[in-house]
Amino acid sequence: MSVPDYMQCAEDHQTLLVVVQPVGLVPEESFFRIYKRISAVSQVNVRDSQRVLYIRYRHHYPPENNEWGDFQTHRKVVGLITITDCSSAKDWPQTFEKFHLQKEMYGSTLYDSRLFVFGLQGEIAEQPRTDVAFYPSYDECETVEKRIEDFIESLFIVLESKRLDRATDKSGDKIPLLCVPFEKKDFVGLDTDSRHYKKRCQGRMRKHVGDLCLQAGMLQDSLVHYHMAVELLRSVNDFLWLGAALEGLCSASVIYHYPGGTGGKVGSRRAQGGSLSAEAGNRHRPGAQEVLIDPGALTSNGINADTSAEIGRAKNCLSPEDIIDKYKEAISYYGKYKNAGVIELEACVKAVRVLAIQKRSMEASEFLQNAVYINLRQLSEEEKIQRYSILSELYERIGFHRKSAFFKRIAAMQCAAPSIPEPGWRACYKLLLETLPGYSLSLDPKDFSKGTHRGWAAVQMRLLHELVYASRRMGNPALSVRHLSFLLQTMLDFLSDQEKKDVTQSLESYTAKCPGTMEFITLPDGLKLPPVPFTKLPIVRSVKLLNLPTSLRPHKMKSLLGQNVSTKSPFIYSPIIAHNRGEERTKKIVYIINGFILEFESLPAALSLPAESGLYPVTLVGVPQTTGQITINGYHTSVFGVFSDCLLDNLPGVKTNGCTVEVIPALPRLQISTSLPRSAHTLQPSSGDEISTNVSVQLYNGETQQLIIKLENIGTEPLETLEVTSKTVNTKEKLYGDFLSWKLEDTLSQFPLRPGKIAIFTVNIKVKLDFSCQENLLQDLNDDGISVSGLPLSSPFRQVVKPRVEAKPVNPQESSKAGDFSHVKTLEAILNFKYSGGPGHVEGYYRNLSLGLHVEVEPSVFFTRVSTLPATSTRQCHLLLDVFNSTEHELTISARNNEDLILHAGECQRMAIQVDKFNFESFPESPADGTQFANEKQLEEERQQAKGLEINSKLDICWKIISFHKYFVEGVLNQLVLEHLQLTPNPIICIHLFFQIFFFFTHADHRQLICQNVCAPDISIRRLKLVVF
Amino acid sequence: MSSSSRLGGAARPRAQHRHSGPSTALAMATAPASRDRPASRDPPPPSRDAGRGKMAVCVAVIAKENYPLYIRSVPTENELKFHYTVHTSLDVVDEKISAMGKALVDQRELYLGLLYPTEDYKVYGYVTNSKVKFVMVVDSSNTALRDNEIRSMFRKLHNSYTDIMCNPFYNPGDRIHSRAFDNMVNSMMMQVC
Repeated sequence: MSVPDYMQCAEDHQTLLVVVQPVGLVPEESFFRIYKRISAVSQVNVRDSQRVLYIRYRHHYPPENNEWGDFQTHRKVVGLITITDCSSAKDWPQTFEKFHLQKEMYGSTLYDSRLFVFGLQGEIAEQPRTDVAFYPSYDECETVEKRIEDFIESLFIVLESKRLDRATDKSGDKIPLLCVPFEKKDFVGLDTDSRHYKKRCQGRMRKHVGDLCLQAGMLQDSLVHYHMAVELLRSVNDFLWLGAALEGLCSASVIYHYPGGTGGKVGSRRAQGGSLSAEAGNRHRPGAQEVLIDPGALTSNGINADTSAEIGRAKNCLSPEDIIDKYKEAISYYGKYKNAGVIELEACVKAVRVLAIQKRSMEASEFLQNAVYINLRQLSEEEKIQRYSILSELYERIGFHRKSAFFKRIAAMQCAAPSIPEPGWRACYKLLLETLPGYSLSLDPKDFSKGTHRGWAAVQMRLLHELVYASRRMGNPALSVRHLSFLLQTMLDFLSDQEKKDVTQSLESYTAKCPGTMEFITLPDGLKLPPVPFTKLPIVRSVKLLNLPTSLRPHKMKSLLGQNVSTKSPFIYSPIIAHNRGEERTKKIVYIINGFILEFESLPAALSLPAESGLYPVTLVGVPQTTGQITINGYHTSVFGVFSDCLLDNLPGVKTNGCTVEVIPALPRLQISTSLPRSAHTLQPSSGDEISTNVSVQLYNGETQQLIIKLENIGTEPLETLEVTSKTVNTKEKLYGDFLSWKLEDTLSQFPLRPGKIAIFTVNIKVKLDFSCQENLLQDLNDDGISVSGLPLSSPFRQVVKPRVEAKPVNPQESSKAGDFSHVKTLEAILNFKYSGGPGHVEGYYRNLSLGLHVEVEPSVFFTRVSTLPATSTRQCHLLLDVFNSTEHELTISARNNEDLILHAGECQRMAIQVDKFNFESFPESPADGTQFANEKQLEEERQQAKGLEINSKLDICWKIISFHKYFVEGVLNQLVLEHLQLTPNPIICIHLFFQIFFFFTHADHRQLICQNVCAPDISIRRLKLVVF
Repeated sequence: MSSSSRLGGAARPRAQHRHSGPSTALAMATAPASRDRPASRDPPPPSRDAGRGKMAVCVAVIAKENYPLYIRSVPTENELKFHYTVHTSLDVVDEKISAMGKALVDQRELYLGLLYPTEDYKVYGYVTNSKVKFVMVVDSSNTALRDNEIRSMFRKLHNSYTDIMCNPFYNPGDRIHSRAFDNMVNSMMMQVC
């Protein structure tokens, strides 16, 4: 006996074994359909009695196992049902012959047999036969079940007769010695008359009768017989049969204690009869006579058929604890015989099933441990797989999940052992999958995202490697990619650098053929493998939305909707700051923001993070296609050829409180380019606006230049409106006149600007800064001793307080002075272009584009000293200007009615200009009469400016650089003259007072002198002299 | 009962004709063998021939949640085998813990005794009150090792583990990287002189 039945359980001892086999050509499908119907009849209530017969059907049974039928009768094939296909009467004799051949195979043990013939009709089928049943087809065989029941009843009759026959053997008769196949030769030549031999025969026969009783549904009787057998066999040290008797005792007790069955699957097979059998067990032997036995009172001389003699003594059923002890004992006896390995193994399995029900895992594991070491013979690979699988199943049943997984894994490995010519990778893979719970491994990456990894990483990793390998050999690259990605994602912390390299390399080679996707992979058995997004490759540390650059940011027009709150709408933007843990080699990563909204077009970005890179900021850009709200909830990557959708919510350690983007209707986009070079210098305006473009230009003080701005609509919507404003920023210098001036009308006439079209906008830049020297410069130049004041009224104090500078050497200072003069001043201004158009304009949004203008003003000419001299005419006077050329070029100064004055570089010359005196009273007192000025000073300034302009127009001083042919630079100086005068208050007052007084005298209506101080500082007139012209 | 002790003993005489069991099947595993720790931290493997027998061939510390905090075995080339041995022994540990769950905490015996014997090794277990498990694998040929010695080895292990826990820089639940612990484990794996 060499083929163990791992599915055996204790209840099988009470079953009758019936083999159902096909003969001839029977379609497998049809056979199993009939087999299924037959095996449904697994228990039969025998008529006229309360006893129940249990049938165990097999469609395959090794005849050598049958030879052990005397040892344990449930191993004996007692019934044979043959199914055959016979279409014509001609074939009938042949078929019938085959049936007989089949019978001979189990002939020695068969009680009865049946032949089911399908397809045969006619004469032969008409004749009534008990052992043959004819059915026209596999579909028309309603009476199969009935036939089987009849068959079982006939089996019962034989069984019952055998039982009675054996049980009523007279003690004086010679009892045959029952023996197992390997014993036969041992008994040759033994003294059959010895007392020892007789006892052995009695014991074995008792045990056999016990088996028969158990099969015949007489549980209590069987217990009695087993008890007696145990005593008999123990006395003669017949260990193999003692073991069998003990096991029989255990089986009967198990059947009594656990009517629900111990076999799991087997139990479910008879589930419908479970309650019935329980009931049957209890009401067995009506009259409730408890079969009790006192083993000590057993007569050892022969078999006493009358078990009722023992009734009324101790209960002979084993307690649950005793069952296990007896099993242990039985197994230890079996263990003495090398040839009884299968019996021992099966006993172990049966005991484990009982212990599993008793929830005694520790003891069960001991039995299993023992079973592991039982060596049968050289097992075939298939048998090995079966053995390991059943061990795994049993360990699972006693709650040893890890051990179970261990054996299942070995079974899986066995499926693909190198010795097998055609490795069953599919089976291997399937078994490996079943081990996952035992290694507390789920294939859902979500289970690993919470907190740190908990589990036995080394064994889990091994299992994953094996899954990868098995799935690859199965020819399912998608599966192996999925498993490999899972391995990489979840076990990253446990992989050594070399392993990471290996894993990523193989992943890349796999994905070259089959890229990883985000789809669920459904296995044939229904298991779904969720996608594995690489949230750790790379690691994302933080995510935030970036606003659009200011130039593109839409603004809400306040006036349009009357809203005061401008909705600062973040457009679509999101940066991912990616952090690569660095264990990986260089790899390609493609990020795409994926809002998971169809109407969203995200622009892919490709980047390659070097290994062990630090934090690396990544900016991802997407363009929304519809208006409304968009929530950014993840990103999409492709790493090592695996596409992953990483949801931000699932990222460990990343806090995002929603990335919601409001999308407004489309607006045009304006791009500006100018005739001036771009500037590296960026303006930092206080308001926080960003300047998109900066241009810079270098001008001489007083110069004017045209700035040509090209406005190009690079968007998709027409540009409809444009507003231009300018703002001068952080200028410490006092600026005269309009710095920037433009005519918008010319540009607006080209509107609306279609996409791709260009409009020209011209801005005039005029720089007019102070042309006077700074005070110290003035003083330094004042080295020729010429008095500053041309008139006695001019500041006498100044002469006094001014320190003399004669001490200073003049010439060496010239050079350094030139340096001082070349001090460059800067002017900065921002041109703001507010524009709108398209659907966004309808909704009331606009965009703002700023152009930064950086003007470096180089000094040109300085008027180091200004004084006046009375001219020949009383209506005129001479204005004396000391002009200093601080440029490196030769330049000419011209004034109205005057000759040009040529100044060489660094030269200082005095020029005299004859000017008409003014009547300032003719000016309006204040150009802004109606408006309330904050103070008098402001009013005064305003007035002065007006006066200055008047003077300017009279003087009209210009300068130009002669050598510049390319750029004819022309400056207007007139403004500065007055300003200079005004800055040095005393000379102004001289002139002014002079003019005033003169005015009154010519209109001699008044005899009084009216003096008016038109300057800001108070003046004190110390000497006043009337001059009559 | 005498027969129950025979059951355990029954395994040993069979050793000569055992089938090619789990351990050989393991060797057929297809995936590349993994190495857990950098080589620098591995102790110099004591040679097999030098001494009479080893005290322990594998020592493992297992967290409450049943993942390894520390595992070290002497034949380093087949470390995974011990991973499997220790991992499967957890079934028995769990079973033993649940069996003694009813006992009073202070009366509880921390030493779990022999968890199970394998062909070549015996596996012993010990569980602290915080459910941290120590598992020690001993060569089954080493018959000199008595139960009391195993007990004292576990006690040493427990003391050393307590020292680790006292380290303010050690985060409970992290893998143990302690030189002192390494040395202690090494001393247990050294040959008996």
